[in-house]
This record gives sequence, C-alpha cells and structure tokens, in this order.
Amino acid sequence: MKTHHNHSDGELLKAIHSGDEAAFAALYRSRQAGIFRFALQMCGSQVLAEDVTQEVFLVLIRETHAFDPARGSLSGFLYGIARNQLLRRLQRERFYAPLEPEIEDGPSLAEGAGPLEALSRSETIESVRRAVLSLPERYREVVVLCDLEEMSYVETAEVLGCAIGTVRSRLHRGRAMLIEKLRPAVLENAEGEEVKTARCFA
Amino acid sequence: MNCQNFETVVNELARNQMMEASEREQASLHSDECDNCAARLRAERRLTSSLKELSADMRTANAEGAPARVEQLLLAEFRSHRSAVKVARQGSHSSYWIYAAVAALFLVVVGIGATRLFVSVPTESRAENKVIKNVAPSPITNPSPEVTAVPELVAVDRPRKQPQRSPKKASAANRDGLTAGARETVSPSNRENEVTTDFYPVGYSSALSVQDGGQVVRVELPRSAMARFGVPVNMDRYDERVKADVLVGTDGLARAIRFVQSRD
Repeated sequence: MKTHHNHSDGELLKAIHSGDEAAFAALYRSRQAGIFRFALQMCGSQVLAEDVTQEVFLVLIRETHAFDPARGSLSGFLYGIARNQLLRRLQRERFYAPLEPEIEDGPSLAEGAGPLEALSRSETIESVRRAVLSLPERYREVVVLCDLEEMSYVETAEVLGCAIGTVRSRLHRGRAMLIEKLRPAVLENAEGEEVKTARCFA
Repeated sequence: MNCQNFETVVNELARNQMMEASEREQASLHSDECDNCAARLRAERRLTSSLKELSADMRTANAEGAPARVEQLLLAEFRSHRSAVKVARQGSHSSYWIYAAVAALFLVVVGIGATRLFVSVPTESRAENKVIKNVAPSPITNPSPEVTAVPELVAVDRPRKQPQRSPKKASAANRDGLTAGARETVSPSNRENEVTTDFYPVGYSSALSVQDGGQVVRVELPRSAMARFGVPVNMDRYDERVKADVLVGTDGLARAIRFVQSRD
C-alpha cells in the first residue's frame, strides 16, 4: 500500500478517483477528526456525529467529481456536507431528541489539578458546552466553526455558503446570546460583576 | 470611538483577531474611558477563554475523532464501490466496442448505397447532359428552352407493335413540317443493323406529354437537318439524305428525333 503523507488534496482526490484505497485512507485520517468534532459540537450526540462523519466520506467515495476546486477548498466542501447532513438530521430528530445533550466520557482538561479546581473547570466546560448546544442552529454553527474549530471568517463563510458579513454578525449575536446564557453560571461567578451590553455613546 | 463603534469590534478585540492597529488602539482607549464597554470586553474575553477551554477539551477527548469502526466501514464501502466502478467501466468498454461495430456497419452500408447511387446516377446524368448539350432549335417548330425529359423519351423507344399508319397521322406529320422523303415504321430486326443517336427533343415537347406514349416513324431528312440538332455533319455529303426516327405523340405532333445510320 502506498503512503500519501505529503500529497495535496488534489493529488489525493485524483488517486481516490482512480481507486487508490491508501489515498482515501490518508484523506480520511487527516480530515475526519475535525468533521467529527464539528458534528459532535453541533449536535452533542456521539452516535449522530459518527453517522454524519460516515455520510460525509461516503459522499466523497460515491461522488468524487462533486468537488470542484474552483469553488472552494476541500475542507470547506467536507464541512459543508457535514453541515447539510446535520441540519437534515436535526430537523428529522427534533421531535424525539433528548433535551439534555449526551455527556461524553473522556479525559478532562481538569485532570492533574486539585479536586475542587477540577470540578469547577469541568463544570464550567460543561456549562459552556450546554450553552453552545442550546443556541439556535444558525448561531451555533458559526460559534462552533469560528471559536471551537478556529476557522477564519472566510473559511466559515465558505462552509456556510454565505457572506463574510453574515458570519460576523451571526458570530456577534451568537456570542452575545452565550454571554447571556452563561452569566449566572460562569461569568458572574468568576468576578461577580454584571455585564451590560447597553451603549453609553461616550 | 464611541460605544456603537466599540460594539462592532469587541469580538475581534476579545478573540485577538487581526484588525487595524489604529482601530485596536482606539478601542483600547475607549474601553479605558467607558466602564460599560470595559465590562463588555471582559465578558467577551472570558467567553473566549471558556470556549477555548471547551475546544481544547473536545480536542483532547476526541483526539482520535470518529471511532475506528467508521474507518473500517468506509474502507469496505470504498472497496465495493471501486469494484462496482470497475465492472461499470468494463461494461462501458464492451458497449463502446458494440457501438463502434454498429457504427462501422452503418458506414459500410451507407458506403455501398452511395457507391451504387454514384454508379447509376452518372450514367443517367451523362446521357441527360449529352442531350441537353445537343438540344438545338427544332427545324419543325419554335424552339423551347425547357425541352428535356430524355429518360422518358428513351423509355418510349421500345419495340412496339407495327402500327398501321393512318392517313390522318401521316397528314399530322406533314402538318408539323417534317420534310420526309419517305416514311417507314421501325422494326426490331432493322435496328440490329443500325447505329442511332440519342433522341433529341423537338421543340415544344415536354416530359408530361411524352409520357403519354406515341409512335416511332422512320423518315428521311436532308443531312442539313442534323446540324440543327447540333450533330456534326460531313460537308462533303451535305446534300445527301439521312434516316431518322421521329417520335410522334398520340396527338400527332413530333416529340423527338434520332438519326440512324446503317452499319453496312
């Protein structure tokens, strides 16, 4: 089996189209983690995130020619498929999805710290996770892509298929909603101050 | 910078995004002066920090991404899809050869048809051209430039029953101005010893009227009449007479003429 560590997306796609399994495996391994995290942060369900990740790469297998490099990056293409799949699934499962997102088991950032500090940090993280999941989808996806996946405005706009200005305004609104949701749990507890978004026109 | 302007850049400021240095400086100055905007900036920074913690936690907890079974499933799907594509490609290859064979067969059939057409049409067109070239003003009537229809004329020129020429028809021929020295009907046995030219249309005859059929009458004409139809004439024998077959229509009018020469 050939190795495809240093190959560009275009070369990998060409190899995939010609039936190179190693190329597909290389592309999958380099991209799947980001797609999976995005799906997990968007829906909060491990099972759904797995399904979405699988669907994204199935599209790549079945419709290799669907990707047009002239229209954007491969990353944007894959995240775009993931986003469409997620929105479809969330729409379908809205009526019987659990209200509380699944709490994933896994190592915490708080490991290695003291018990109280670890509890506080894990609680904070969990609060933020829930707050993000409670955002409307249009704001959630922008917060996930820009803040959690650390994409630029341009990349996010490419994934969402909208203008950069739209990304900026949605991010602004989404973060304001998050601050409102987290104020009692995280922000006020931290320093005990009240955050006002009123304008003073100074 | 006022609070409204500050609100537009507070996200970038809190997230340490790229922005113009002057704008960043103005925003910092404003947050130093305005308590509300300073609190807003602090809240945004805490949110950024919390989100980064969540992101780091997610990356740590899901460093591997999707479970290995997803990869196994996808690789299996890739293999089956690849084999399906191979079969499809082979299928398309064989169908390609079938299409090629059908196309080749079609070309052969068209070629044969075209060859046959080419072989038959030129014969007719040659004859037609020849007659058209030889058409000249008729000595009998006014010339008509539309005179053609040689194939019909030739078709009419078949062995027929020896018709009994009626005086009426003979007088019709005379009426048409045929300066015949003698008239005789043409029998098949006579033709074997004769060489004839093609029929030349005479004056007003048309294809439609020729189709009606008619009668071939053997006449003798002065050799000078040949020149009128464009047939070359030996000037030494200019005064001699020459035999000719005149096709007389059912209406008694001369339609065409051909010149006859005995083999001996």
